[in-house]
Amino acid sequence: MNSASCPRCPVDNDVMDNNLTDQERAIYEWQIWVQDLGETGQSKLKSATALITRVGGLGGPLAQSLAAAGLGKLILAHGGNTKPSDLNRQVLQTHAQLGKSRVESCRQRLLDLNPRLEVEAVPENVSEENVAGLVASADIIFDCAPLFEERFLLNRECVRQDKPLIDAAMFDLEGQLTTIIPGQTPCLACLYPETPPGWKREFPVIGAVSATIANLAALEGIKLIAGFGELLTGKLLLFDARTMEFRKITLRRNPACEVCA
Amino acid sequence: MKVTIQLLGQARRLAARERLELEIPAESTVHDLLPAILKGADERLSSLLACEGKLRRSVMAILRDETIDPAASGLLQDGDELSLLPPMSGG
Repeated sequence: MNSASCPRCPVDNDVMDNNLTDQERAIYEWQIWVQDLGETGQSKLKSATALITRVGGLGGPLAQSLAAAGLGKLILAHGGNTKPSDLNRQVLQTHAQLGKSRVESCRQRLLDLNPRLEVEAVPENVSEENVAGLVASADIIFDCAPLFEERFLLNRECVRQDKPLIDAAMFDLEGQLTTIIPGQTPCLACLYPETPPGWKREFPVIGAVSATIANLAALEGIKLIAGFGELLTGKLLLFDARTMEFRKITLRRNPACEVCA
Repeated sequence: MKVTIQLLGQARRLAARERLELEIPAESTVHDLLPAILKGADERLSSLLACEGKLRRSVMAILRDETIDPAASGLLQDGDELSLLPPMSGG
């Protein structure tokens, strides 16, 4: 697909093909060789701003992959300080960072990888108070929150502001991923019309499982921004690490959805 | 007719087995299968999957890689595998 004519791309289609510096061409040379991406796609990545909430076992590796791929700006929203139990999966945290701000650790690690990246570290989780401003600041939103209350807030705001939302989640050895385009695909409230009972913030997780879903989410975002490939729009990708099986499930919009109908 | 029920996510963890086989009447809905699925089940599994005798609205019923309406009859065929996927939000 010609990314310059892609109507679903959240980045302005007028982005110039030539906004890359010589240094960036050298850094991203092997990536630009991917024919579907090319220099045009790389330029779009450079022009894009992504919001990632939160930057834990999913959001951390996701942010790392987007930073490595050459996104222009990342907004990281995550409250609290690094705890010992974070370190099995939150790859942007370090032992030396224990007890210190999570997002600050993430910001520093990402800049070590890509000093050209602009990083806005917001030391808060998504809430009623900040969700509108956070979503408004980004072209694309990655939902990696461990609580449904945060996911529903993001979903509602993305529908209201017509912003693409990539929703990644996992439990134990399973993970799932879908891409929500307001007005075109089911939204999160179509899938879950009630607040699910009994979900706890703490859940079983091996870091390699969350990182697998994180990197699939990063790839989905790169494709969406650059405008190539088939997206998980109206589809839910299920991954089972026990059997190493992937399934793609067709989703249905809820005609009575309180958020997007 | 015979169908297999696969439990995913939290339901798999709470169930004694990931899969169970059921002998069901033709035209059964997903809601109709709940008593058999939850026979002898842990209270947490019952609460996760069902509310007032019906599949919870937050649980996806997946048949042949499509989500289906749990109230619809005539969808399940002999030999089918029906997956039940409760919500997950691990991040």
